[in-house]
Amino acid sequence: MESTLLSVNGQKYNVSLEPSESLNHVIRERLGLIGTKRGCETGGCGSCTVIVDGKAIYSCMMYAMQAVGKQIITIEGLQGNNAELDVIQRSFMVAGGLQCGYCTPGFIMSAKALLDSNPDPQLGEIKDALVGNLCRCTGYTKIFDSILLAAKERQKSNK
Amino acid sequence: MSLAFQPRSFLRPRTKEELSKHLKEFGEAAKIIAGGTGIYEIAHRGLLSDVEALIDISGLNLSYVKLEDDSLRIGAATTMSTLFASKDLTRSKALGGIIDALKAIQPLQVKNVATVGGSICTALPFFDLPVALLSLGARVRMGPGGTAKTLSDFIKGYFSVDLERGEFVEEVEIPIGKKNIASAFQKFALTHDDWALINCGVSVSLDENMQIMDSVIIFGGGVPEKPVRAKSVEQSLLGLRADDESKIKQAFEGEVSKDLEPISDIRSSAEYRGRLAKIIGRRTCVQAISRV
Repeated sequence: MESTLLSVNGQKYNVSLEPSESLNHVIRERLGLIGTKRGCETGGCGSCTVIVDGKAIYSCMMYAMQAVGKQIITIEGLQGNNAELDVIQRSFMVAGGLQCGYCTPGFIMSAKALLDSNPDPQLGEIKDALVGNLCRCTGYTKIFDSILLAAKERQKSNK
Repeated sequence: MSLAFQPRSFLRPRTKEELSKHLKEFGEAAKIIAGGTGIYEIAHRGLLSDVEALIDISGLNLSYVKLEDDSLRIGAATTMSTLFASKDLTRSKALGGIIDALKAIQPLQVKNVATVGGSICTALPFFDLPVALLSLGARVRMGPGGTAKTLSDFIKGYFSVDLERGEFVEEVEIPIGKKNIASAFQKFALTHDDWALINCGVSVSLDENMQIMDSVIIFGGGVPEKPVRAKSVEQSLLGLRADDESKIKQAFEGEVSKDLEPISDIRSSAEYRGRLAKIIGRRTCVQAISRV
């Protein structure tokens, strides 16, 4: 066990970590941030996607120890000061980018990482960024629509 | 989390000497962790029950891409995403195969953490980047001593590489000094983010009149043990005109089966892999030639 600080959504958490504990386990079971899902646990489904130092990663495939000293953002970190939804979350609602919702936090985090580095992506770039996220309900089309809409909305609000 | 995998320590060396000391002390009971994607999968399958320590090398400044006159040097802890974003890759047509391989590696969540050193040390015969590197005659530089050997000698087989106790991979070096040389890499997989059924890396150079193939290196993956060099195919390609596609096709059709013995597994029969190897090999070769 090693007592250390993890920075999640801008907040510092003091946690004792086992060397083989996944970041996903720590986020969900220790910090209680259950918006990040656990799916396949072998790096295939993408429901556990979080952002570490600006990049989308599988939290099931990263040891929490590896994330020490880095900035971790989970789906909970997207909400505003008054718990209002982020523009990407709203776009998923408006464009119907979800059905059962289990994969949605992962998709939204992949979308956020993409839009933060590429504010005006082409459809092909969106597809490339989402290869690592599976959805068994929507058929993806409305997820792509949601992200295109989010890109537009973000550009509007930046003007 | 596998119960069989309970390492007691997670070490973060700050110098290469410190890393080497840890590796000497623990031997097989320590595993270097770079991106961690590979080790997590192996641990998940219960294959690391003897491991006592994980050694994180992210604090050693081994993430870099350096272009020199006659080589490209890539630090072992450089992620696939970092390498892919490097402008240096586009400065030599010799490196086209590396760009192809990085495009083939999916998904982004893995590419963002998986490293070049991890890719070659995992030594799985269906990985993409090692095959592209092998076709370019890449060399591996080991720390802490700085000795180097060819990647081909370095990779021994599944999860097995040629490192002495206390040694680690410091960087990979790709020679790019040759004139009129280009490379390509192609992969055939069942889905966009699956392992390769067959992959192929080719580097080819043409004579000064840009007509005759005067050197060819071909490696194929998705085969047993380790990526194989297609020496018979290479021999029959040497001296051919680069635009003679029917002779190039003949070389692959006639010689591939002498060079590699494909495997049967859940993804494909050996017979199907054998057919694919001829087609993917030829296409990769033609693409490399078109880039010279």
